[in-house]
Amino acid sequence: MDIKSILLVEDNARDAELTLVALEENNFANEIVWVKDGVEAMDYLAYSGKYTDRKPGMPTVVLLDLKMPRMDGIEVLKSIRQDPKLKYLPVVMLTSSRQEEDLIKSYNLGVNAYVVKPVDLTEFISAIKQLGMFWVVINEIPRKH
Amino acid sequence: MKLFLEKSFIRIFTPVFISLFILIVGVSAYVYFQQRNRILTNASGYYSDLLRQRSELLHAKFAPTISDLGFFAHQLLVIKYLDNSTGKPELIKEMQLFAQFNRSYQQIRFINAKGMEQIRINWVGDSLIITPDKLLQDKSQRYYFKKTAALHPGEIYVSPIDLNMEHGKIEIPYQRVIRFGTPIFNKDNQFAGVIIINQNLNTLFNRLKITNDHYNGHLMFLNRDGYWLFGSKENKSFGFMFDSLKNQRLSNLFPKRWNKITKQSSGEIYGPKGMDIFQHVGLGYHAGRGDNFYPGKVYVDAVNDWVLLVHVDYANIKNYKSNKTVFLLVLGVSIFLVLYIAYIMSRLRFKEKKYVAEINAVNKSLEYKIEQRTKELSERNTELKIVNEELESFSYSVSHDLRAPLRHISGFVDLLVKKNRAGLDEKGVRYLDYIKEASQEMSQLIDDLLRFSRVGRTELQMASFEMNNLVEETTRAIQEDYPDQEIRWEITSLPPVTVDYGLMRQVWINLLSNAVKYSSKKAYSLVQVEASETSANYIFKIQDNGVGFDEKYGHKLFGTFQRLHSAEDYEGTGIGLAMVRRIVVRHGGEVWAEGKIGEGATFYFSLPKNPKG
Repeated sequence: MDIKSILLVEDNARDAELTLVALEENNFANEIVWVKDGVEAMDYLAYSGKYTDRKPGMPTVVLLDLKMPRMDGIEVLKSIRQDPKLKYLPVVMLTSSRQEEDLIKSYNLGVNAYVVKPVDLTEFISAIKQLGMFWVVINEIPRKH
Repeated sequence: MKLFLEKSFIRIFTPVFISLFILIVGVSAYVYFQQRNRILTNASGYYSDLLRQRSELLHAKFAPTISDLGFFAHQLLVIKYLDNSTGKPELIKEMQLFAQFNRSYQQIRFINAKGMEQIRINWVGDSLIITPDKLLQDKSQRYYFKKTAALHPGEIYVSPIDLNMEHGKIEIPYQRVIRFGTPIFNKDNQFAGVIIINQNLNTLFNRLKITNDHYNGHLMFLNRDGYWLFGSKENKSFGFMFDSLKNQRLSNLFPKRWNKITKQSSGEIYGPKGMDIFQHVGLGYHAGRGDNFYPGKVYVDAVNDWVLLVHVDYANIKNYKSNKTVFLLVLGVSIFLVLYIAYIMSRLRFKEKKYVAEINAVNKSLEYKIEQRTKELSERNTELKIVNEELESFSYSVSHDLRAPLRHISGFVDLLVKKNRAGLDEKGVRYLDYIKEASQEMSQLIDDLLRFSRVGRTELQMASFEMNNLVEETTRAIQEDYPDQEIRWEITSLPPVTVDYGLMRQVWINLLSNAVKYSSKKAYSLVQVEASETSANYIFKIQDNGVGFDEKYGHKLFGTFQRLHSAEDYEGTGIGLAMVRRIVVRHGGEVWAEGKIGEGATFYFSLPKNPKG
C-alpha cells in the first residue's frame, strides 16, 4: 500500500485543528498536509512556490474549505478540474455553509463530495471517519497516465 | 360667437367662409343668368311676334290701296273722261264710291299733266265733299306730283308718311298721311295726268297706340332717318316737319342703338335696364320674307324703310322681376347659411386644434412625469438590488462566519471534556454541557433564520401536483422523527394544487410536526387533515389532540421567534409558524388557528384556486 496523504486546505486554525483531531482519531493517513489557502494548495499540487522541492506524490483526497482569503475553495476546485494532470483528484468540500448555491456551484464544477461540518464534535468525527473510509481506503482513482 | 374675437379662429374661418361664399355665389349666379337669358329670350321672341303682327297690319293697310289705285287707273271711265270731259261726273261718282268704300281714303284727286287739280273729292268730317273747280289748286311743284309724273304706265309711287298740309300750313289736328300716286296716259299713250290717293293713317296710328297699352313694352314706329312717326315719348314725332325738332331723332339721341338697328333687318339690343326689339318693315321690301311687295311696280320713297321698335324695361317683365327677387332671396339666405356652416365648421376645426394642443401639452407633461417616475423607480430598483445583494452577502456571512465560532466552541468543549474529564469536577462538566447546548441552539437558530429569510426572497417555482401525495410523504418523514410516538393520521381527499413544491412541503412539515410535537405527551397523537373550498379558495384544516393554546395569545402564534410554550416543554426556535405564514401569504392565501388549552389546536390555511404566478 502506498503512503496515503491527505491535503487539508483550511484558513482557520481552529477548524484545522478540529479536523486534524478527527482525522487522527481515525488513524487514516500517514501524512496530513495542511495548507492555509487556495494559493498554497495550488502551489503544493503543482510543486511550485515553497513546495517546489517537496516530496513527490499526490494526495489521496483534498479536503477543501469554501471561504478562504486570496483564492477560495470554488476557485481551487475549478483550477484542479481544468488542469489535465489533476482533474481526477478527489476533492471534498468541507464547509460551515449550508447555502444551496455553494453546493450547486461545487457540484457543477465536479466536486466529489460536499460535507457540512456538524457543530457537534462527535458527529464531526464520525463524518470524517466515513469520509476517510471511502476516499482513503475504498476509492480507486485512475493511475498516472 | 365670441369666437370671432379670437385671431386663430378668424384665420380658420376666413378661408372656409370665402371658398363657400364663392361657391354659393357662383352657383346662384350661374343659375340666375341661365334663367335670365331664358326669360329674355322668351320675352324677345314674344315681342318679335308682336312686331311681325304690326308689320302685317301695315301691309294689310297699304296693300288694298296700291291694288285699288292700280285698278282705278285702268278704268274705262278714266279714258272716257280724257277723251271728252263729259265723262267727268261719272268719274267723280266712281271716285266717291271708292272713298265711301274705304274711309281712310282721305282724298282722291286727278291732277292733269300740268299739275292742276282737275277733280278732288275729300272727306271733311263725315261728309264726302267734291271740291268746287274754283278751289282747285296748282300742285305742279309738289314732290308727289313730280315723282308720280316721272313713272311709266302701271307704276305706283308711295310717298313718305307725313302730316297733311293745307295752304302751306300743317293741318290741325294732325292728319298723318301717306300718298299713293299713279300716272295716267291717254289712248295715244301720252301722259295725261296723275291720280293721287291720300290715305289718312290716324286710325292706324290709334290702333298701334291701343296695342301699346296692351303690352308692357313701348312700341315705336320710325322712318329710315330715325325720326319718330309714332311712339315718341316727348312728342318728337314727325320732327322733320318742325323747325324746332330738327335732328330730334333716335339716330342722334342713341347713335349706338341706331347703328345696330340699321345693320340688321331684325334683332334685339340688350341694355342695362331694358331691351329693344326691332324689325324693319317697308312696302317695297319685306323684312320677314326678304322679297319685294310689288316687284317692279311700286316705287317707294327711300325714307319708307320703316322701323318698328319695342322698348321693354326689364322691370316690366314679370318673370324677370321674380327671377331677380328669387335670386336675391336665395343669395341672401345662402349667405346666412354659408356663414352659419362656415362658423360651425371652423368652430369644430378650431376646437379640434385646441384639444390637440391641450392633449399634446398634457402628453408632454405626462411624458416628463413618466420619465421622472421611471428614473426614480430605476434608482429605487438599483437601491433595492444593492440592499438585496447586501442582504444576500449578509446571510452568506452569517451562514459561514457566525456558525464557525459556534462550532469551535462546541468542538473544543467536547475535546476538553473528552481529554480532561479527570481534571474536571461534576459542576465543570455540567457548565461545559450548557456551553455546548447553547452553541447548538444558536446554530439551529441561525439555520432557521436563514431559511426564513430565504422564503421571502426566492422566486416561486409553480407546479401542479396532488396535495395528498405531498402530505403522505411528509407524514412518513415525521413518523421517522418520532419513532416512539403512536400517531394516528386521518387524512381525507385533498384537491390538487399549483404551488411551489419545496415551500409547500415546508408548510406541511411545520404544521404536521407541530401537531405531533404538541401532542407528544398524550397516549397517542391524533392528526386530522381535511380540505374544503369557497368560490375562490381551497381551505386546508389540520387538527390535533395536543395541548392547544390560549386564544388570547393567538395573534402571537405566527410571529417570528414567538412561542406560547417553553423550550423545555416543547423544543423549537419559534420560526416554524412564521415561515408557514410567510409561504402561504406569498401564495396569495391566509393562515389562522383556533384552539383551547388542553383541547388541541386547529390550523387553517387557504390557497387561491387560480394562482397568479
